[in-house]
Amino acid sequence: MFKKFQTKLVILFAALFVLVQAMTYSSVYFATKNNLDDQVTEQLRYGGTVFNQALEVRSERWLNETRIFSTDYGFRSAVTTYDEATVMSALKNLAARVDANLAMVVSLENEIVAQLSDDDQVKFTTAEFSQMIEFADEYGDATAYIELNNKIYQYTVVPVLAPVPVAWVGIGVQIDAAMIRDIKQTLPVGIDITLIERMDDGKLVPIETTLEGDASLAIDEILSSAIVEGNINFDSVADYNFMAYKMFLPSSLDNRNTAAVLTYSLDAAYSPYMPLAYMLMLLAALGLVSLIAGSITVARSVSSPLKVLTRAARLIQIGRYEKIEKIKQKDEIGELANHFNQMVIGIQDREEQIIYQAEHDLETGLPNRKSLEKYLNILAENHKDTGQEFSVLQLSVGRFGDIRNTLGYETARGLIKNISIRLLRNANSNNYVARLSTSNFCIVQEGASISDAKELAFKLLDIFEEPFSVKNFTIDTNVSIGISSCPDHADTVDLLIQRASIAALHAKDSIDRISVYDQKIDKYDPDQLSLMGDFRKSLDEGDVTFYYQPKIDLNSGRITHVEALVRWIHPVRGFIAPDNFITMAEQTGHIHHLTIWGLDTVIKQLREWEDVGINLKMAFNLSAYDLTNRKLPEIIIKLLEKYHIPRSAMVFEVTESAIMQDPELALEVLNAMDQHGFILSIDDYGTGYSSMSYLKKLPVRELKIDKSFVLDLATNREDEILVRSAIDLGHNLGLKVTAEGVEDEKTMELLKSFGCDTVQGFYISKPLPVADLNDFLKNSPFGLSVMPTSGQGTISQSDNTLVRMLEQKLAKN
Amino acid sequence: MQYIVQIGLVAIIAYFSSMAGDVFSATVSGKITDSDGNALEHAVITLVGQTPELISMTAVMPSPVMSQQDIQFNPFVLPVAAGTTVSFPNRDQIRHHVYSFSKVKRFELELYGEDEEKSVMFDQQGVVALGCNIHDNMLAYIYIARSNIFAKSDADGTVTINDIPAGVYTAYVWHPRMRADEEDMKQEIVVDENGGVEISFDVVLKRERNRKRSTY
Ligand SMILES: [Cu+2]
Repeated sequence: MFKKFQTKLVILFAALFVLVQAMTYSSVYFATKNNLDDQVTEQLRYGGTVFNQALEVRSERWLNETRIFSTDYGFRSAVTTYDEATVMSALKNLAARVDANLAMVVSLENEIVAQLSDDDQVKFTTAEFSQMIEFADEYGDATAYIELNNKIYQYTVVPVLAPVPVAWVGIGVQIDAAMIRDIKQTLPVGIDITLIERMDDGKLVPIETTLEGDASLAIDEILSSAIVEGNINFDSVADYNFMAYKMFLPSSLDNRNTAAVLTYSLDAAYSPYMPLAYMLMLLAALGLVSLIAGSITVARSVSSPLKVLTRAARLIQIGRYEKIEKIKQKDEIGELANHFNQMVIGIQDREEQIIYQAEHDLETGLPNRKSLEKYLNILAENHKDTGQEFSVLQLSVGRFGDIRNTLGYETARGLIKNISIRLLRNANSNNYVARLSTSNFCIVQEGASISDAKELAFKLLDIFEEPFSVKNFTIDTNVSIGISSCPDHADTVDLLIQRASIAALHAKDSIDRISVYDQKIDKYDPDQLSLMGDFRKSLDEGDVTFYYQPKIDLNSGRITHVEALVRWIHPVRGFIAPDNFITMAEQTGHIHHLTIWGLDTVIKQLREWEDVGINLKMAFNLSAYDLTNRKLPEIIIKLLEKYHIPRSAMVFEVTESAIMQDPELALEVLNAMDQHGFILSIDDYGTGYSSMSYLKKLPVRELKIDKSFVLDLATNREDEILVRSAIDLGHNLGLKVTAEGVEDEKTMELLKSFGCDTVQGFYISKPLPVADLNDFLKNSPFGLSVMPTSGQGTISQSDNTLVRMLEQKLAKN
Repeated sequence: MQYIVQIGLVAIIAYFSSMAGDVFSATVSGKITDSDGNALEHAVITLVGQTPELISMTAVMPSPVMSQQDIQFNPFVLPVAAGTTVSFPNRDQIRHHVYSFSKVKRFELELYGEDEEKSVMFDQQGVVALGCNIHDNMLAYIYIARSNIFAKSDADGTVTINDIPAGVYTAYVWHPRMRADEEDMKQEIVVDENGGVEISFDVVLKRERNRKRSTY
């Protein structure tokens, strides 16, 4: 490519140069040539004039000499007396005087009286003369050029006057080589003279020439070339270039057989210019060579840096960042090279940054999910080869969304950062810590069995006991850890992560907040998916039912309410946790149907009880989905009307987290419910972060304290303070307060002493199918027979948290 | 002056012929032009009688003169009868060398001074061209006529011959530059007793010699 560029440049420049040179050269050449040709033409014309004059001068002289001779008295006397001897001697005298080759006297009767010739072959007959004599008789004298024996003679004829013509005297002088050489001397240099004669057969024959050497060899061809009289013709014969000018010799007669061709050798004319021409060519050649050299240099100065740059660019393409050598050129190319280097640095930096960003979580600096997958891939491959096992622990920070909404994003970020620092600080050397998503971290433990992983999980839970201090807040966290292990649970990366996630989700609800993956808990397990297919069928066949847990009014000690809790006893799998299938129903679009079915079922149940004289109120849990359904009040009203149940018979429980899914719409729906006279209750109170001021905005009439605060109330002082203040708070806001999770008598007594309005829990009754509940209601009038409880609760982190939260919020208010 | 002499001459011839032949005489008038129709001077008309008595008729001729004056011959053409002696007086103060190479009469006269006079008798019919060996441009002709009846045209190209006896004649014309032969130009005329005869000649001339070129 660069070779190409160089070649292109060189060819282009050279072609341009040659073109310009050729134009210059040819214009100079033609100008010079035209000029020279003009000069030569001029010279030839001038030469023709001079040549003519030279002949005229001679002819005039011969004429005069002859005339003088003809008037010699003795000669005339001799002629008139036909004294031949005298006449002949006189002719000799004349011939000698004018260097004539021929001389003769012709009578008026056209008879030759006397003739002398220096050439025996040359004898005149009166035939040659008759025309001349006629002319001379008319005009006084005559001159003509006549060819005889391949010689050209200039003939002069004058009358012998006595005093009238008595005879004619003529002389002939040969125009010989010597003479034309003499004439040539008077012509411009370079002009040669060739005398030609047209013979009787029409052939042109050269008679004399001053041409010499090679040029004379061209004479015949010069003659054969079309030379028109008076025109200057350019012609070239073989190597002989010439210009020719043809002129007939001046003659008294009308014979045009004798001509002179003046030739001018163009080679001779051009020869002074040839050195100049060669010099120009030499200069052009030198110029061309230096131009090619120069353009090669220029091309190289472009192409060699480009080569370097191209190579460097290729290296960059394959990911090798090499700076190119400094290019010393200070031109644009040098600049390009410098910028190229800067670009390399820039790309390198950015690539590192991009790679870092691609592989790391920017908030914590921990490897991100992608890096984690990469790392796990290596381990998975390693496992295939060596069989070495490893575990994936997913640590989920509970209620992170609430924390973020309440304390702000910046604080939430700070918390996450602190969590990551704490994780790294406490991780083992064989641990790999990554951030999986907003509130989920992942710790990979190499070469560890499930029990090792569990051990690590407990250790990690321990380090989260200590609250985090972010800005001015002290934040307790509620983490749960899910564990999956290779090869026990999966041997592909995706599955390992997914299953750790599922385990973590499960751990959230478990007592010790740690869960090892089990297929049973995996609603995402392919088996679980088929479960949803069974769900509709179960609804129709009555496998999905409601259990009812009684609520006691502490003032009266009587059962006033039951909470409807949905249960699905799968024919094959047995009990399936509501959270699981409700979430599933939400995801599969069955939730709407489930809600309507549930409402219909419980209201119908109220009707049935009503019909047998049992007067109970029904607490019904609304899901997050229900709170986004604006038609919900209408649906409920229709059902109540259908079974003739008053609206006051229903209490709807909503969790803070359900409201938080879409607070605005939820509030709209709740307000509508309230306006239609439905009683609303906040469920699981204390597990969320809802401020009291927000609760005040909600149209609720009941507060239901989460069971996690109640379970250990009898033994835990902090819980006691919390629950008491929560009850006081609820009452201050005009709300009824219910406590759930009551499992012993002491707790119930405490709650009673705190002024709690209603209680619910295993101490009174676990959730019962309708038949059992009916029995319960029958056998234990007002349900006061206490059921034994088996719940051995784990100490929850939430207790402390809620206390602190409440303290802070009360302080703020 | 010359014309008077000439006319006188003709008159005398006419007179004597009328006396001798005792017959009436007539006048022959000639008109001579060149080919362009211009009057031609210096032409000589000769009448030759076709009868013996006319041929034998002779006339007394005065002595004609060919003088050299102002480096010219005078007259340019001098017609004479055969047997006439012409005198050559030199009226210039310079010398002349008069010559004739004509076959009719060859001679040369060296005339060395004014009033020197020599004479030559011309006995043969024909033309004698006179030149001067000293002055090439001097030229004159002596025309020795073939009879005694002749006359030279004047500047008007007219010729008049009086007292011609009646009879049949052959008329000849001659001029120095005449291209044609005399014999080819001849005309036959009949002269009767009552009145004149008119005759005309158209003469084709040779080109006039370029004298300038020969003068140097
Ligand atoms: Cu003279």
